[in-house]
Amino acid sequence: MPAPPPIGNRVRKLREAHGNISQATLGDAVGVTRHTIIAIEQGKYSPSLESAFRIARFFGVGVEDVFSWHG
Amino acid sequence: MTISWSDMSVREKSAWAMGALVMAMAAWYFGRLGPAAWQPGMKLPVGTLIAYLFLTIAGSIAVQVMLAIANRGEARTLADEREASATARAVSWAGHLLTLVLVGGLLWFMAHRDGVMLFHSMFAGLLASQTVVHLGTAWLLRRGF
Repeated sequence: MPAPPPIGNRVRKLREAHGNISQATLGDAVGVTRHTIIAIEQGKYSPSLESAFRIARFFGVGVEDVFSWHG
Repeated sequence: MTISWSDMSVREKSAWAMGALVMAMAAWYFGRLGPAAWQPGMKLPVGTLIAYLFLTIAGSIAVQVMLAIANRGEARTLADEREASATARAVSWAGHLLTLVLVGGLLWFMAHRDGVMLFHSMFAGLLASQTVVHLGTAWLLRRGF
């Protein structure tokens, strides 16, 4: 397995805090597939800057409230 | 790394299936040719080549139609950023491999002056690069990157 990217995220927690919305719903809102949301939550994929902003905007928070740097 | 067909996106399924198809058809093609085809002075196996192309095209259409039927909604969507990035990386790997095989084949041709062997090496390079594109994409989508 490759070293996970040094970027953590709270996407799963934010989904749960917002009425446990589905990964598919979030994916549709952001413009990615459900599988990409799963990969982001599992730390297997770091989204593009545009998608990071879209995710943050969807939850009504700032990007740094969703993503954090662990490097 | 676990592989479960049910939790794959349609593009990952497609990548695994097409990789398997390309490898199976390559094994069939070179199996039919046999080791004698790699000897200098042999003729190009046109009939086997045409059969290979027909079977590969038919197999690809069958695979894609089955995947589209089984994943109706998802199959209509475009690749997202993760899928496009995985494919771009795999294509880059395949390009390097194809370049190596092509250069090797040309050096072989310069030494032996046998066009049929050059064709076989080029064709093997194309099949190998296609395998890398499909299986590389599937592996990246499964493993993460």
